[in-house]
Amino acid sequence: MPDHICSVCKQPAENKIKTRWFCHEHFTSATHQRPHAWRSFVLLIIAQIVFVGLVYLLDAGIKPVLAGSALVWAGVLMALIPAAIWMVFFYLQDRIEPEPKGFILAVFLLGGLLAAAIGTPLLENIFHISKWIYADTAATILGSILVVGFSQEFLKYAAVRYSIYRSAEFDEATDGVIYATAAGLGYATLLNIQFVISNGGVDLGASVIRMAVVALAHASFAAITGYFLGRAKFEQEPIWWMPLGLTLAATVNGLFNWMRGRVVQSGISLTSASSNPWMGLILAAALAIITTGIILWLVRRDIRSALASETGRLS
Amino acid sequence: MKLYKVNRILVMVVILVLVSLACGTSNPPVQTQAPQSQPTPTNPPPPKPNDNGQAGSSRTDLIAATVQIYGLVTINGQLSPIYSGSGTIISSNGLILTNAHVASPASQGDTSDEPDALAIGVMDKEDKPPVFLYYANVKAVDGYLDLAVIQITSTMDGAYVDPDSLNLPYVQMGNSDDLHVGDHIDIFGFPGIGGDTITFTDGNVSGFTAEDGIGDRAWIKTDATFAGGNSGGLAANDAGYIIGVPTIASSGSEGNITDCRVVQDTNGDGELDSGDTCIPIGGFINGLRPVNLALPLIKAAQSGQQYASPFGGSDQPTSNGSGNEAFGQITWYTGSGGADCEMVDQVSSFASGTYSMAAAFDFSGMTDGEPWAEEWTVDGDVLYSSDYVWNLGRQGTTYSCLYNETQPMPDGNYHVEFYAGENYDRLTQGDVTVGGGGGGNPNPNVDQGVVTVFGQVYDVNSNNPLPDAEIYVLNPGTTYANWKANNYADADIYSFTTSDYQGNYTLPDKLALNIGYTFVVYKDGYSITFGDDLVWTVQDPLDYQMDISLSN
Amino acid sequence: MTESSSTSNTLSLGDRFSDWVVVAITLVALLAGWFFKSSVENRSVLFQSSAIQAQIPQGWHTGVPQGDDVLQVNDPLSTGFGTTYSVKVIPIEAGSAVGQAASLLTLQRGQLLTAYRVLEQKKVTVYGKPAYELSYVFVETDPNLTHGDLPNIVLGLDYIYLSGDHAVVVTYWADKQNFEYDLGRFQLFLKSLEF
Repeated sequence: MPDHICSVCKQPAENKIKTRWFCHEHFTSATHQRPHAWRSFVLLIIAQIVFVGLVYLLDAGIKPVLAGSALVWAGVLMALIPAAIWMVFFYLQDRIEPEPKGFILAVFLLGGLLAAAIGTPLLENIFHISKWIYADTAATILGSILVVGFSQEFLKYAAVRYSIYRSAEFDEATDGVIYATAAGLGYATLLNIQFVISNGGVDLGASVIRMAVVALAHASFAAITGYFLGRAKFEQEPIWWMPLGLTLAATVNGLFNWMRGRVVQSGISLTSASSNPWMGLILAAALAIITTGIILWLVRRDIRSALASETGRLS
Repeated sequence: MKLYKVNRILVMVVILVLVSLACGTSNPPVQTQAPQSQPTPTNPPPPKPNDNGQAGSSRTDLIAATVQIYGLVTINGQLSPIYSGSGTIISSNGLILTNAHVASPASQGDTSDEPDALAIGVMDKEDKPPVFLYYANVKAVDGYLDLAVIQITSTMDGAYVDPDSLNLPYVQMGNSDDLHVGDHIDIFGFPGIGGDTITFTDGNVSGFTAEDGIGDRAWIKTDATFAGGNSGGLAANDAGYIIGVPTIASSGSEGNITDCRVVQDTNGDGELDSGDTCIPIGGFINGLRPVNLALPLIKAAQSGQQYASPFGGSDQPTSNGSGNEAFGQITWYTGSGGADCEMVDQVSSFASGTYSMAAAFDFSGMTDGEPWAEEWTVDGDVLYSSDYVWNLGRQGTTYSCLYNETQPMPDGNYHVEFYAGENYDRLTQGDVTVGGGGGGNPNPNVDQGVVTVFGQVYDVNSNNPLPDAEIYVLNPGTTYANWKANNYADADIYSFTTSDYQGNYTLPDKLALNIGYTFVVYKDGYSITFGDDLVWTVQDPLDYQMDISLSN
Repeated sequence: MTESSSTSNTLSLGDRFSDWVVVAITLVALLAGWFFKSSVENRSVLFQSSAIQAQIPQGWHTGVPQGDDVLQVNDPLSTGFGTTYSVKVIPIEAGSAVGQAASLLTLQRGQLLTAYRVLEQKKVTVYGKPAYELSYVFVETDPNLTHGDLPNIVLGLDYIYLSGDHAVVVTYWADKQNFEYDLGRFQLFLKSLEF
């Protein structure tokens, strides 16, 4: 008779990954490989850039005259689009068992609400970030990592960890990345909406670049946390595993912020503009591609080793 | 199980929605409170209706209606006090009753102390010094009676004040003819220059003094004792009506020497000594001028008519002039120094270290008794001005001296104007330099610069303009790193401006060609942005647009 | 068969406590960030002259003192009106009351500053020294009327110390929205002031 029960569904279990036991169904899903995940992500990032280009050209060409609340509403709408593009890609994934749309949306909203309720007030009203973080390079880097990075990444982590993490729906290694990315997108979307509203409306062509940068960046940082979360659920990890993941995400967040500031703001000159936001987009796209590439490769390696060791055990 | 999990998520979502609504998604800029010290209400109590038979003012109201008056003269470009006195507000729209020697010493013949402005300090709290809020103009003055009525006209920064909007606390007029010997009186005033709060003393009517031409109640004698600064202040009866004006004899009258103290560094040399103007604050009191004597002045002030004193005196102008007054061109002479200055040698300019200078001119068509005045300015700042009554006859030559007893006249471009007649028409003016004229051009590059740089400062992520950005241009050859190492010294700055509410800026100083200037831009919420060694060449337009985009 | 952990779904040490460690590490990072923020904001540079000595905030610009001023520094990165500290030394009559210097100061300010209003004045003790505190408000406008600037409401705070035959006036001006926040930094400056 079976001695072990599945750590996901509590049914009798016969397979194990490292020290955890899984029933056959959930073992299969836990080690499910997505053959085209990498390609999908790259296509997704390209879609974002295409979206930016389209809006930019449309704005330059048509020059829509929007003012007042109409401009604000248009900006808010536009802030939702990068997230929508990501969502569409999630649902188009080739899947054995798609995630319930409701859950992804719920985590997305949770990420956004945490940003509004805790993230932004903490940074603006308690830490007064804008007053000191630009003092010099050391202030920018340390401040971005310790204050901005940790607070933002912790909130995205919490949006997954304290909601969907324990659920049976969280049953794949890549689920960690997916849900965390959804939380990151929710966070980013809310930041973009706040950007539109606090500026009383923004120029659509100019701001779409910034919105895509924010979306790509926050999704990438969150993906790092998501990878660590995913492995923590399916393999027993030491106590420092998750904290390491969060610290890594926060550090990447802080360093990206600093680097983006450096590449976008180039200084006053007669021959060129003093800042170039497209450089920020290139940096964000590079970050997203590299991060997701590394993570997907790591996930694939984990699954392969889990399958190999299980095969070895059973034979 | 699934339902339970979804419910938990839902609960968290609802809580967070509520919290974020409370915090607000649009996070407006941080609202700060006013400083901990809450502003004390300075709105005076609503004015009492001026009906007959109504109750007079309470002591609090009497205190609120007593004001301190400073006579101000322009010294080193700023109005500074040279004497102080007190006054009483007698109407809610800013009419104040005081002594003539407080409002206009020239009305009693003392033209050298005639102020350029009168500052009115009102009571905010009893235990604090008065706060100077308004300027006032003389409306009616009688040097013989030593009474004057002045009207508040503007705030201290020069903004016009609508008298009907003032709603100041005021004291109602009593009837000084109804006073009896032994009646109790309260006296309020400000005894000294600055820093002292309102003082109160009281006593009884000890008698009356008569004067020819005025009547039996020319003076109210009292056993109350009070210091010189109370002059012009409030004497009220027990019912709270004003019945007299404490009047002090200041310097210039028969025999009463006043106490004169130096309290401000009026000559700006960093020391308080005899070189500074002293402020008379002492003396003894003759008594109170009965308030009924002031009624014709008050009536004239309220109706806007000119008040003519029935008591005459050579210190008052008695003629409006013929209308044919003429002054000739001014010629300059060195003076022999001091108040009795005499013309010595004619000069076309004065050397550094001159102590006195005389401006001479011919005159014709003048009438004895008509008003005339002079004003001296140096490099645009008023140095001295005074008005007088003419007594030099119909035509001739005269001169006016400007002198400094203890120190030489400062170098500069001097300008004098002389006025005469009812309307003080300017009849002549002259210019002369002391010490070779003013200083050199402080910004030697301004004349040589040719390019005007302008543009807009905006946020590149939103394309929104950025107001209040500070734009510095450093002297050629100074980089941002140099300036930073020099602790951002002022001496390295060539030009500076800020962007206006639409983000637009224009550099006030032109830039020269073919040399490198460093631009540094500060804006809160963005990192400091700069460009070292920017060079404009002959190919660039003379009006050069350079927009600056910032990113955060 | 050997038994591994009794049930495979027991949370391990790592599982249970890693959550708390994550929370703890976040709080530690935020705390470290807070201290770092304080150290950045309180950075200062020594200013010395014949009259006074003080620690002024780093990165602020020093203006050329005029008239009675011995020190004038302002923050180029303030929102609205640039927060300014200034110190002036006024000769006064030896032995006179501190209110006299306050009165003269008020008279000068009333002439120079637009919409000047005194909010409160009182005697206080500042870091052990007796002083007179004057708080007021005025409106700062660009005297260049062609410059389309929106005027700023500025709150001011003066501390007047008597020192023999001089009065030392330490002034703090800040835009209404910055006054509370920047007051702490001013108090550090005030503490470091020696004359």
